[in-house]
Amino acid sequence: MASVSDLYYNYRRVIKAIVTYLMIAGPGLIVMIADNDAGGITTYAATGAKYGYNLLWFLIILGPVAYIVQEMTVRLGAVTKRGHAEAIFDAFGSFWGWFSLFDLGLTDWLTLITEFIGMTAAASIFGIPPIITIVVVLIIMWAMVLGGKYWTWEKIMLAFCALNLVFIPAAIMVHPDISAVIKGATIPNFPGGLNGELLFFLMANIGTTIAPWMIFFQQSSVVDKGMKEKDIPFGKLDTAMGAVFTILIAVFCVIVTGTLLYGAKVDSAAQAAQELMPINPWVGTMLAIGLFDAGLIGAICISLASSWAWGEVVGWAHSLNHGSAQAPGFYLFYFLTSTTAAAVVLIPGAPLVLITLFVQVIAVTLLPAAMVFLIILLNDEEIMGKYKNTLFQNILGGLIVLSLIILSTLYAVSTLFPELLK
Amino acid sequence: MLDFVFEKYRDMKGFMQDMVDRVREINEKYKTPRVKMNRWVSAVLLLLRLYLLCLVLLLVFKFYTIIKGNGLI
Repeated sequence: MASVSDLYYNYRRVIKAIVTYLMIAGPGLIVMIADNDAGGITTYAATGAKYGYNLLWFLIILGPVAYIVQEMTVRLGAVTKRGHAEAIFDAFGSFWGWFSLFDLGLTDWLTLITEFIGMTAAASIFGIPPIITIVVVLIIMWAMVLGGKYWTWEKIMLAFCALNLVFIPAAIMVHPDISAVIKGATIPNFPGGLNGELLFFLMANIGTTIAPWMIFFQQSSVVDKGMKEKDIPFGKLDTAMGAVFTILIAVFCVIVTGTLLYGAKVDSAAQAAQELMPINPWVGTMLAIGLFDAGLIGAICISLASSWAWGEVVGWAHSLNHGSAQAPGFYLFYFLTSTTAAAVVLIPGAPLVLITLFVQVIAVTLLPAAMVFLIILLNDEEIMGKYKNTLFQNILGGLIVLSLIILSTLYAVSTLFPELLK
Repeated sequence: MLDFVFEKYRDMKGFMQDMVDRVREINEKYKTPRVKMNRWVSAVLLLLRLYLLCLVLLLVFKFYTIIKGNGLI
């Protein structure tokens, strides 16, 4: 029988572990929830409206997939103390380094435009004109980073991430058929057979779960936070928690549209929110708030991913712990990318639909390279030491990377040539 | 007026020269890849180059069809 002192010792140990986790928590949770950005919410809303609860099982599988890829960035960042862009330059030379840096810059900038499209569309449901939305969002984005404290920025981001959980009460309010939800979540099935359209939806869901900026963001974030090798277990736990939350949000979003809009043609989350307004104004409002919040989280993380990457390579001071006077290049890059992307949305007649489609294709030029570099780096004993990948991690990671490359390439090709999947 | 234009031109030239020097410095710093280039790594990097080349060709083909479809060629 355990003595009182043993119980007290175990209690203190658990409390200490929880406190340490809360101090380390951040990069994994933020990157995973930011993964459900405006494009992600649109994909989930469309998936629910088209296939109801039938593809919930597939979304659940994507959680561990995202975890396995992102967990590697935690180890790489904590061991090398370098962001992914700098690690690529160092390990593979300047050709691959410049390629990754420019491709990341372009992909992130185009994705940023889609975040602003999502936010303006969500705000317009409440009658807010795009120009007001954009000015307010830019002020929030700038104010958050100019504090000169990573810690403050991270806690505000976690509050925004918590707001993203709005999909959970929304899903409860629509009174879904619980047995149908459980069936859709546990029994793999391909409604209507594995045809071109279903394949397109599956690939779109994969594309929104693993994005190249996530790899760069989390590794830079781990470095900026100052995580060390001893913090890796907590970093892993943080990433696992993030993966759970990202899938929860995705599943509950699908439940909302799968319950109320099943069979309707949904092209965007904003359209879904608008269609939900006459059916259930509360749920419609929650979906619009969730879409806006998702776009905001995505915009902040994506702008930072690029700024960190360029700062690391060019040699600018590139930490959120530096003020704007200490790191002018880093903050200028952040302001320029966010402002120009926002400005594109305001241009009358700008080809926003084409940009949204083009993002997927450009992302596919970077994703395979970023993931392949990740696997190679994680196998280099000289760089990783005892933290290098095990055989099991290599088999699992290798299979995931290969599958993601094939599926995301198919998605890009089918976006370029839609007639191929018909 | 002309002096002002020349001054701005010199400033711009100086800035561009600084950028070129910085890029050269970065290229020099990362001249030698640190990762062990065994047969596997070399093969993977070659496959990656081929993959990217195919994607670029597809994109070029897509733009060609768009331009041709709009009657610009």
